[in-house]
Amino acid sequence: MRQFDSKSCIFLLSFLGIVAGANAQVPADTAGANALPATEVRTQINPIDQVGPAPIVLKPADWEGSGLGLADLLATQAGMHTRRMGGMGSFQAVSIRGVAANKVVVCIDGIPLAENHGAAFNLGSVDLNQLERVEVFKGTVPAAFGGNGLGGAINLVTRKKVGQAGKVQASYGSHNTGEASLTLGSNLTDSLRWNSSVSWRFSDNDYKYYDRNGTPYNHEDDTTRTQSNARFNQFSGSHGWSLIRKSGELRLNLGHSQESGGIPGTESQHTHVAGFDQQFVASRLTWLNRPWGTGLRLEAELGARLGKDLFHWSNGIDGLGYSVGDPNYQEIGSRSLKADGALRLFGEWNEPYGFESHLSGFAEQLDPRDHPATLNSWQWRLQRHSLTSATEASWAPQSWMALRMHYQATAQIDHNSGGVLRTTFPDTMEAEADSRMAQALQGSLRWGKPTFPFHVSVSGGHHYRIPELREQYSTGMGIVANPDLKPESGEKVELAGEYEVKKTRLQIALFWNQSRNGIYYVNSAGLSKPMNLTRNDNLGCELDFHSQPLLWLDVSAQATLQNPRNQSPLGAYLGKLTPNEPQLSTGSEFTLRLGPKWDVGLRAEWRSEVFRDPANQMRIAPQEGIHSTVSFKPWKQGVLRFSATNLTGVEYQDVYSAYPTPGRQYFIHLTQTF
Amino acid sequence: MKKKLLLPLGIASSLLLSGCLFDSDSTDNKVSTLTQNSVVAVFTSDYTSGAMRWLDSNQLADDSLQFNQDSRIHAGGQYIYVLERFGADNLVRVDAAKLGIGDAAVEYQKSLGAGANPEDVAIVSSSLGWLALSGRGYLLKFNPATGLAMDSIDISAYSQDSTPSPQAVALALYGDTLCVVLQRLTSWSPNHPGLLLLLDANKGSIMDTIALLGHNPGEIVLEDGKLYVANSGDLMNSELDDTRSLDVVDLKTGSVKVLSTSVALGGGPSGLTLDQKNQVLYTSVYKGWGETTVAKVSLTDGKVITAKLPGVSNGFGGVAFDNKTQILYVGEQDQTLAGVKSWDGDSLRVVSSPKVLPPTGFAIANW
Repeated sequence: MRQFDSKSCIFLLSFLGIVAGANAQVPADTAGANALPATEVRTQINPIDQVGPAPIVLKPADWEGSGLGLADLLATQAGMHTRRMGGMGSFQAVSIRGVAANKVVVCIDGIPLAENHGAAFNLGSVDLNQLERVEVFKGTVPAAFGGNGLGGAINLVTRKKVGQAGKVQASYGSHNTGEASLTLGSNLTDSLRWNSSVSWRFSDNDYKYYDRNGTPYNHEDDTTRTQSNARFNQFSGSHGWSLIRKSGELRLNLGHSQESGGIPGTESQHTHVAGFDQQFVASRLTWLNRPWGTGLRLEAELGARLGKDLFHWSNGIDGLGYSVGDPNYQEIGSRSLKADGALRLFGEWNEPYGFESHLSGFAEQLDPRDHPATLNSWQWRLQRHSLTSATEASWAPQSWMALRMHYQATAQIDHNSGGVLRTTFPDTMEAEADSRMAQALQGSLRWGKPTFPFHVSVSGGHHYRIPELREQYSTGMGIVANPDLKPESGEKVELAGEYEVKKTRLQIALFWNQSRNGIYYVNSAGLSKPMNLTRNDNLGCELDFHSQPLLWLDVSAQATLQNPRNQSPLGAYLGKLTPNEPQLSTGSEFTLRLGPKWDVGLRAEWRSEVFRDPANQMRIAPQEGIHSTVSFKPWKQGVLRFSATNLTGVEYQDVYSAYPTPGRQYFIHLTQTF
Repeated sequence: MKKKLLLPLGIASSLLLSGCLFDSDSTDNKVSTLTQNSVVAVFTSDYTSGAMRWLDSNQLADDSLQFNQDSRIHAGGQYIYVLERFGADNLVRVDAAKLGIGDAAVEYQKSLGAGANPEDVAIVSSSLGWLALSGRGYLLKFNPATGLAMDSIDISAYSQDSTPSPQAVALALYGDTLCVVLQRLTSWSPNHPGLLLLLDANKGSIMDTIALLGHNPGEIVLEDGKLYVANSGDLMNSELDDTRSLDVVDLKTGSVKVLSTSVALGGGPSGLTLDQKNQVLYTSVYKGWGETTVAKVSLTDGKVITAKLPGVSNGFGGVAFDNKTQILYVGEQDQTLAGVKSWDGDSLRVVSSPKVLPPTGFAIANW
């Protein structure tokens, strides 16, 4: 739950207009009273950076002890929606202002995450215990994150605890669900710092659900079942070292995650042994140079990620579909290796002007993970080399006006090694290379002095999404390759007003976006082929309100009113609501502070009907959700929380696309900082 | 204090309550508008959602019944049997005479078990029917009046790989003989010719087998003691070879011959329907992904009378000939031109509203 107080007010003001996330910088020698110690290279943001609508920033206080996962937490914000498909660890993603989740750029510490077959990144696999904060950019996307994003960007900032401090967290709740995490940090020497965070999440996900047996016209065979084959286990960690030198700072970060679990299937197509196993290790070396003279500063990064994704099932036992090879065991997966680098140049002169230039690139290779038991030994290797240049230029001629422009260009070369790549047609493919270039442009303008309670901003831009390797070349059975897929593209515009006085803040935003050449899988003769076919647009309004009318009472409310429509030439979809997008969604939250030790919070949310499919045949009725939390501070720096989520215990599902989800859940959560 | 509370609480509460304006639940009183004792039902799907629709006064009705996105429909007298395949695996019976009055038209919906994958149905009598299940190693005997299973006949001995299922895909009744077409795939690849089983339609005992010539048999037509089989071959390539053909089986003599080759047709036949009066077959010919034409073939000598019906771009959505009205219906699946088209022998007409999902199959019920 969000807490609003005077300190938050200052924090929010300081983050207003952030376009470079954690990388927003000022030269240390011009920093004001809020500057960090001189040994720190990074200091607080320059007023030039207060351009454009404020990003959403969520911190541990917003999620600790709430029982919410990352996607559920993001969906409490105006303009963002999610769909649950199970319990802890199940696939979950968020849309932003009606733009599908696979067009939202997800970054970790500013680095866009690896591709996922063209599908959205699974936020269900993100452990909130590893995060220091979550930043959401619904409008303009900072150049530091690539400067491009049809659906905006979400930046997950990992914990980098500095100094002699640490935190222990533990929680346990319904369905044998638990989490434990430990964060430590230390100044090893005057110039060497270390921080580490490890976390463990687990759940049996054995909740009860109403099973209609896949027969919506027959209620005689309906029953209540206990979910099975849905256990989840994840161990993850991030570790960092920071070495401060005279000339700058050198940072080394290591991240790793191992998660596995069952894939229970749908309400009517339940599995028994299907599951997944995913692992990755990632490293990043960053050099942050001290500013040269007046204004210029350089950063350089090198990173590498090695990952393995594996899905397994048994057609004989799970009866999932058409098997190739051994019916008792099926497996499909890939190994990915990605290396990336970036050079970033920042400049700010005489305050009215500023610029950032980011040059980044990556090389990625995908190979199949062969299993000797399967006959599905497709031979393929896909490679992509990419270079991106993103530049921001800012100008604040007056204290009450600031302008920012972003330009981004990406050049890519894909290489297909040839062989039996097209897993649908056995014809041998020749080795080939393909290259493309794409560009994005954004601009934003802001009026209002920093000290004035009222600000207005307008922003707009053109964005794109290049199809991922596995969308173009097909590594899935029954999917036809289409190497000629074009990038999806679109535009978005936002007009936002903010009013903030004392302990009340109101933000209203009008937005419009459209996307073209959306990739859609066309079915014919049992085979699917991705094609650039769909068009969508959305016109909407968001409201975000926070207030502390009394010392012991915080109130917040969010609402989104939108009209997300499909404008595709596909007749069955034309004019229909975009799947999973409600026209109206609202949320209200109240927090009562009952003395210095007790807090009670209640959140209620509601959304209008949605449809699961583009033809709007699978209707999901309007739905409400009520969640509550009670916090108690038994001793210094310790917090004990009791939370209950989904108090009404219902989740409406269309029978033919129903993924059972947990109903009412209870958790107890302990946080101890030291 | 009251003033401080009023505004924020008011805003928060009103936002929640405003949701009532967007609750669009409503109920309609529906009345069937069918005016004749026959109906052409169309299954439509984009393989995300599916619905059965029907022609009403030769136009596609606005109403529909929602089913699993991958379903096949077959008619048996007054009833339409909806076979919901992988992902639902259900047997549904719909009273065609009640179409248009909502869910009440659905008489029953029975689960066949996960993975059953029903493909075809044959109705022997009001209390006896057979189901072909390509996900099982048996034929299912059931009571059409109730949808309940009565018995099963083991056909796993005819499987070509380690799975128990020989992929029973089509059924036809020839007097008291049940004809069962088996695809006999190897790891879902059509590496072998299909097989025809002949069973006693009442007892279920296997009487004979006849080896087919083509691979991957699909739709069949029975006429005057002869069974016509469309063998589409491997859909993963579009070579014009011997695995794709239109075969004819003489059920009296047991002989099999090729009626029309893939070379003559220009591709592999998939959908099949019969014009009884003119003794011609219409078949949808698969040429490659996104391209399926409709050909007209003579029943007597297999000569291709019309290689490509004009105005059909991707007719993989099925073909059905209404012998009552002498109209051929074609399921057009071209992504921007999708819909039902009708051919009266002279001209092609677009029947369906452009706002429905692409057709995937037809069933014509008469009572």
